[in-house]
Amino acid sequence: MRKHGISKTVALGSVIAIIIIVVAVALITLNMSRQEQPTPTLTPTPTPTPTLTPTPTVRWPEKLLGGGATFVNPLMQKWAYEFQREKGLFGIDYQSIGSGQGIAKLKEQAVDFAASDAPLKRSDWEALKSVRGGVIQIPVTIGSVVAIFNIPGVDELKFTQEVLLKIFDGSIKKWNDPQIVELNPQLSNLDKDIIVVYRADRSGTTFIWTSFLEKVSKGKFPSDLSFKLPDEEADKTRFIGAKGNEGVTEAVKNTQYSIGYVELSYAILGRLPHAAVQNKAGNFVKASTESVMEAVKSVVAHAKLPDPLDDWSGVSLVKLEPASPNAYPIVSFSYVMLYVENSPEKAAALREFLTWVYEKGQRYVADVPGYIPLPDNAVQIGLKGISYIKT
Amino acid sequence: MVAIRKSIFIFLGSFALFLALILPFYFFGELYGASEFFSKFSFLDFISGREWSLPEQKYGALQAIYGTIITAGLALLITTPISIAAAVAMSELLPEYLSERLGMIIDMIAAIPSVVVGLWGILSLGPFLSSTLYKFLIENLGFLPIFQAKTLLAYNKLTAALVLGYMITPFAVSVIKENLRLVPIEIKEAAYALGLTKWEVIRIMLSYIKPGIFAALMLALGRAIAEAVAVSMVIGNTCSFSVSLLEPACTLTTLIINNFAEATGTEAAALIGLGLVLFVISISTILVSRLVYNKLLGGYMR
Repeated sequence: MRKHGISKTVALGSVIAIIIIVVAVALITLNMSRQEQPTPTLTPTPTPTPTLTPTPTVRWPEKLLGGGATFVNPLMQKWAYEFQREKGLFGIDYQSIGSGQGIAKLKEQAVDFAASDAPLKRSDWEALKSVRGGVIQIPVTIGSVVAIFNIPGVDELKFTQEVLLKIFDGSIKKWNDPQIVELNPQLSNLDKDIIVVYRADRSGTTFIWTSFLEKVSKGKFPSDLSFKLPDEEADKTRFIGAKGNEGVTEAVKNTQYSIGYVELSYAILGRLPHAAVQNKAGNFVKASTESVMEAVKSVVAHAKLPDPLDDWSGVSLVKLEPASPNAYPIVSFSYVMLYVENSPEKAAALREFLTWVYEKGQRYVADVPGYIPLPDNAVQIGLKGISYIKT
Repeated sequence: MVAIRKSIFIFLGSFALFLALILPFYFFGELYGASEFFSKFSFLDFISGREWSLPEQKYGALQAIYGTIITAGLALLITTPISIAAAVAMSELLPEYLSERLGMIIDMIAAIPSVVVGLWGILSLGPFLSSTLYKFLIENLGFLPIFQAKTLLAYNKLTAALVLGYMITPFAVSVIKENLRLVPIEIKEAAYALGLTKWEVIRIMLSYIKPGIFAALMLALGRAIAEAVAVSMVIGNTCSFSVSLLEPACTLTTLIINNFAEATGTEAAALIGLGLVLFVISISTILVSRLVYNKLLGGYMR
């Protein structure tokens, strides 16, 4: 009796397993044939815009391989898709493996280009200077980090940079601290501890945020991919770490009287209020497409940024503080990095794709919520960088 | 026919042998990655280091060890009475059709991916507990150091332990249930023949399968120690030695899973070191439980 039951379940289980395998195989073959289809239909028709292709007889590689920052991933996927749809020349395979891994892959020459939230370290830049003509670093998009908060009934908060530093290094402990109330009188009766939500995983977002805190603290707060917790045990327990921008957004949403930092897009998607921060000109500005673009424009116009072939390690938009009165101060470039010398096919493909990104691709940025197109003067840096690509 | 069956068994059995052979390789692999670690740290300093802070280049594993022991221990504490009670209820007290369905549901819990359990912890369990149970604990039992907390947090050691307890209970339940089924019918019949009540019989049965219960709980504990994804989502990830269960902590696994993707050089080596500590803890759990199990078993052989 029992034996029969067992063999029945075994039979049922194997039937289910076989069905799953068959379906999976069918899906894969279907997918593969679908992927292969567009290439033959598109390649025979020569591209109608010969001005963009340097030589009409150029041979395109099958695909360009990129890897790195997770922050630029949604944008990169959008670009890859639109580029392929528009031109159909070759595919872009971007893997979001994290900035550090992206740079490591670039060093191993395992990718054609890398993307990173931070420029190459000086030591890395020096080491790679003599490899394949050196590394071109060009800003490709802008990240901006905002302070999101959850205080019932409060939608607007204003912070000076000093106060923001003190909240995140743990020295301001309560919402009704005089330094906060001075700017935000509506909090005067809020006798609650501030719960700070930070990124527990190493990330570019934390790097931008801590660079900002480092600047405000005149170097006392360390800028790193990990967030530094306060030393006092009693302060530490007010800090909770969450994973990823999504995790921080959820944790702030679910914790009353908390404050955290995320990329602007997550604040918008998560519908959480974010604070206005005082800029160099003394105005309290909230992050928005305009204020962030204004900040980058202002920095590029006034600060002397290095050449794409030079060392960018000292460049930090946060530290070069935008002077414009309407600029949001906590912004940063995300970079694309590639070698100067490439094989003829790869060089042509990189030139083609990146030029497209800077010229046409910027139009698609607004379609991806929370991402912000580069201002014109930053696009020029990118185009200059592309002109260095050699075979 | 017999030959075919035999060869199938031998074929499958060789897989188990293969696994047994992998273990030493795993050891070497671990040591290979760890050579980087040993070249940069002294193991004793590492495990007795009181502070873990990557921005300040402080690599001490003690806080993470503390977090691992507290959360896994607490999860075990939660799961022990629940799983024993559930197993007894299912095998002895409930009518068969009910216990069969209940067993199926509990087995299903074991099949939920840990990331889904973690999401559930973040989105519903944590916020719910913080507005009900944790609030009650802080207000009424706040005089106990373990329930002292200045602020109400949804993500803390207790949430992590509850999520872990939820995840490991199905394993303990099904093993204990199987053990109860294996109690010889003669023992039960003899007990009833002596005029014992149902409860007394259950007590005899439980003491008969003591080694089995112990093994089941150790299996669950091993899983609790090794669990990473779900815990990292609900524990709050702030390394500290705070005694309060309502304050955040970090564990060996959460530090590794949070930091490894973006770690290079010394940080990566330190994370490998954490893996090594975890390995030592799991191996010693297995060895100790093996010893105790044999001792328990020996008591019955005599």
